[in-house]
Amino acid sequence: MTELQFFEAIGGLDDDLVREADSRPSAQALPRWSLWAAGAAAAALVVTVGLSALGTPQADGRPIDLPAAIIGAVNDIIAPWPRETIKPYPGDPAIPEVPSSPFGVAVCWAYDATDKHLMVGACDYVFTATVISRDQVKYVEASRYSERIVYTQITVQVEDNIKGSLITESPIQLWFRNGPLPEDRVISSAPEGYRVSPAPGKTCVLLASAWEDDDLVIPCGVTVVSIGSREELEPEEFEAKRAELLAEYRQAYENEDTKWNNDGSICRYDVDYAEYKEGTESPEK
Amino acid sequence: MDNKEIVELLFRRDERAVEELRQKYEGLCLRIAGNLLAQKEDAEECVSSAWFEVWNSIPPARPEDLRTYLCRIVRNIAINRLKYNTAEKRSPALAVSLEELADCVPAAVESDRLLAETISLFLRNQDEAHRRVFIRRYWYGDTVEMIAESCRMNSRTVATYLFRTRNRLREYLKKEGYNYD
Repeated sequence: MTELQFFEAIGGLDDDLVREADSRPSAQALPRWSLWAAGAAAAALVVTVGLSALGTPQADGRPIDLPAAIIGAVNDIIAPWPRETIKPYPGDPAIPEVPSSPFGVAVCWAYDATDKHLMVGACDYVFTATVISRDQVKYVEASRYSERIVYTQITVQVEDNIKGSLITESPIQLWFRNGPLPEDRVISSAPEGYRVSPAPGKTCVLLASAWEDDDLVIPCGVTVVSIGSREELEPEEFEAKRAELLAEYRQAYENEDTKWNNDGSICRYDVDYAEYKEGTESPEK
Repeated sequence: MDNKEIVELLFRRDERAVEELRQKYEGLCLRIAGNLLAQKEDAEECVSSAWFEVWNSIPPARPEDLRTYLCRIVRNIAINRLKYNTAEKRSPALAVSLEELADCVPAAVESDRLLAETISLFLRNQDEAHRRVFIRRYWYGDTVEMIAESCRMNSRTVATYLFRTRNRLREYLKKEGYNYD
């Protein structure tokens, strides 16, 4: 069969499918950026709520330095920002058409960051990995309110792919997106379940997405789930916890909620990346 | 005028039906034909042929979905013109690149109709956005940029959707017994 014959055969698709494809997209088909935009907007909102413990000066009066807070001061696996919490909005959020404006997203709604089915559905990759190192922190100036987005880069060794296929032969680098942050680089509060990057040696379940530049990013507001450290836990205990979380997230993937509609991007560490680049850089008119 | 009324006009052999069709769907038909054929004249000729074919086929046909019925006629005529113009893929006469479908194409197929039914079933199990993008690309022949604009995505995302859906379709067809050797 030739490509043209195949193309011709596709002409026999059911009428309702053909009609649907050329109709107005439903809210379900909104691209995933809505979720992360909403996450950022939600984070922006909570940042403005007011100063809480992390935002207050330390005992000696010095303000907390965020890079230090992320890289140096966080010794344990996942250090939460436990000062202010926001409860998820009850029920499914309405998804209106998101208006664009020079000031960013003008709408804000809450989502349940602890809903595994939802979060797995919204991410491109779900995997377990052990953190090798924290590499650098990058600040990106936001366009409004002089806020900054902070990205923490870490190197991890992927162990189990739950959703998507990342390479396991060598370590990969990914970014944690935190913020936005006010000009003084002090986070005053954060959504429930908000985490900074895990410490080296820890093994975690990570939910990440491919970004526009093919980087792998853990978006703001996505929870990192710790399995623990092989050095600190008994092997049986570690394996039991690992198996439990793997089963939990595989089950979540099998029943993923695609309401937020993952756009299925591919990052540079995907096993299919070379083929994908070849495919998308060919003249697909 | 709604489509039922147009069908009734066709049944009464009233030529106003063709004018109504032209007013309502000429743009859509030209888009479909133009997506497949590089030459504007070819596309226009296809659409003219489509009016004639609709006139000849209704009655006895009484399509429930006149719009899709018409689009399918235009698509078939355009594909036949494409075959007539050239059988070589990626020839200048071919507006849509078929090479990207290469990995999905089974070695041999017993029935086109059965294949279309199988692909329909596959698409019903995809989420709406992936389904929409796939059909816009391979049924309507729309460009990645056109799809991106209408679906409010960026082009890269559309290309990713297509890539992933093609891969999944290939796996699905393999499971359904289609041969790729």
